[in-house]
Amino acid sequence: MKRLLLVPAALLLTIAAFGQDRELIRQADFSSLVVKEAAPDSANASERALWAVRCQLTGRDLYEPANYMFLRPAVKELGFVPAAFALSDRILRDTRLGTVRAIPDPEDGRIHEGPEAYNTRRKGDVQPLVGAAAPVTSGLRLSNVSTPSAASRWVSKDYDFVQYLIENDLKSDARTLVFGDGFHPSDTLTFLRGWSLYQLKELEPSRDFLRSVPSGSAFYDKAFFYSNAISAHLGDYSTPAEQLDAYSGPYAELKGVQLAGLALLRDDPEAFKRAAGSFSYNDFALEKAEREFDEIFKSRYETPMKSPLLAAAASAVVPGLGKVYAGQLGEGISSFLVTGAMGAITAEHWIKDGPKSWKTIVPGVLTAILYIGNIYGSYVSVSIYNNTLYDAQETTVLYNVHIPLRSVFK
Amino acid sequence: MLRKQLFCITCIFLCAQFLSRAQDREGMAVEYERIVFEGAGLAETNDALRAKADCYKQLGRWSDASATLARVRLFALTPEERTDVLYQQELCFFMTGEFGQAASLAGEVGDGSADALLLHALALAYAGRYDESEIYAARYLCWDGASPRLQELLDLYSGHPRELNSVTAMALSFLPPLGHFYCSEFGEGALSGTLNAASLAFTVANLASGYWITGLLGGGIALDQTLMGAQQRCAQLVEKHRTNDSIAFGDKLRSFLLQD
Repeated sequence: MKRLLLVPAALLLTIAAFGQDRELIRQADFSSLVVKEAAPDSANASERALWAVRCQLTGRDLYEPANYMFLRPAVKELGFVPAAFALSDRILRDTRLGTVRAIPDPEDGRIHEGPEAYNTRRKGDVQPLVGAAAPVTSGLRLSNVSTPSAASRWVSKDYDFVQYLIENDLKSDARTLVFGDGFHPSDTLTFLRGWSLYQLKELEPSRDFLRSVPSGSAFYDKAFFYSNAISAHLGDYSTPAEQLDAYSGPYAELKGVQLAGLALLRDDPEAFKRAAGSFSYNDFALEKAEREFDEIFKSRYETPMKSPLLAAAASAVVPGLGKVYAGQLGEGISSFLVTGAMGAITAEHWIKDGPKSWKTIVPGVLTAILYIGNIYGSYVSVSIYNNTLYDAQETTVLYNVHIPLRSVFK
Repeated sequence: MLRKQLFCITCIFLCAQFLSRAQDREGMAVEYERIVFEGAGLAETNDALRAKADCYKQLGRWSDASATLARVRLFALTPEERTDVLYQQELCFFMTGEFGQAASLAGEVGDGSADALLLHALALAYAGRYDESEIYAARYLCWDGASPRLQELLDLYSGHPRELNSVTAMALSFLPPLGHFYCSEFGEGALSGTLNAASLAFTVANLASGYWITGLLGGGIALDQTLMGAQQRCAQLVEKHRTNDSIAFGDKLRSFLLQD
């Protein structure tokens, strides 16, 4: 009997769709699947020529922008001489050995590193959370939500259905449902709207909806702490810190953990010490975050950083040694081998042809560029190492401000 | 209990139909999902999922439609329904450009309708399986009886792209320009040949002059770059030509089969 009701629906749809398939097939556009190879649009004539040659050579070529596209922006960023040394250092690093410990971007398999990496320390330049998709937005905002129709109902009756949709990875269905005009406005509806957007990683509108859940609602605490975590992901550290200071609900230790995380993100050791006073190390959901925050605090404020000057001096004595000091063993060996090979070639010509022969001068100049580039690169490697450490710490902090919420509000 | 369930499903069905009139296919899809959530029987669940997939299809959300169809329990369907679900899945894969997946369903869907034959012919052609595609295309063309355009179709297939063999390309790439020439890339072949000749000349000239370190180190690195580079490039060219040629041929076949 039930089947009798549903079959016509399927049949009606099938009949309605009859003949449409051919039209859909006719209109399909597969041009985006065609493999197109060309130099980047911004490339000039010489860069295009280098691109054509580059296609015929082997090598890792893991860096983005590619080496043949690096010099022009590097000259703008650093000036000609540092740019030339930076390029030579990059060539030394862009080998099988040099990239053995590199972690490429999972999306395109390349290491995104522009000339700005050769600038000095970029403290506080937050990287997006590893593994998190870039925030997307559907244009849904608090201000442009449709008004309910006369036939509206309460969303609490559909609460389980919304949860079912989210748990079964039908998040866009959940969004369609809660943003339809069939519900009376309510705290639950506001929360579910924010929650469905959060699940779809539409962070900004999600935060706005979650923040607007009033304090009397049963969903208030969950919405409050999640909105703070989202704000932190969006790079806003001060607003959630102010709101947390004013919070007096039952989750005092969670408040302390989020405040401590935000203090680390704001690079404020005094605020961290105040917030860390509430750590008990006994709560299963929060213990890991508390211990990791303590470790980050110690390594950041109580352990001396590596010295760029020492790295440069080490590389001046033995090419690549400074990179090993900076924690880049593969890069160090690669630099040593390539610079050493070039030096050996120069030495051979020096012995056989004398120092004034062009056969000695050409490899000699190249060796000098590689040698100085390696010293410069070692100096920068420590900055890169410190920046990478700083970014990794920020990623850990963001993770721990956010992920424990799943256990706390399970 | 049964009356309550019946009432619920009737309400949902009417709601879905109302939304259909309002062109709110996203809302319809949610209401069909509600039938699954309400714990309907196997047959009702399957019908709801098929109807939901159709909503996504109308919205052009082919991946969602495909994922919904994958949830249909095929064992609970009649043979005709099963064929229809598989056909819809093949169509979804085709529309998202997953031609290999679409072509793999051709055998299961069978040849019960002209639409199915058309889809099989195109999916197989885009997947580069031209011989199998030709059979389906000919049967599609002759679905209503002998077609005067059959010879034209056979001529079209006789000019289908040459299938490049990656092993042959790899073997030829040891003599650098030959691998490129095999892939019909004559300009790139000339460039690769020049680079390899220069590397070889540099190495040989240095070794012959007694510059052993320069010859072995410099020449070795240069030859590694150019010779291995040629092999790497040939493998890329084979993949590129396979993809681009099959898409170009598929586009040609599509406009031929669908011309009025």
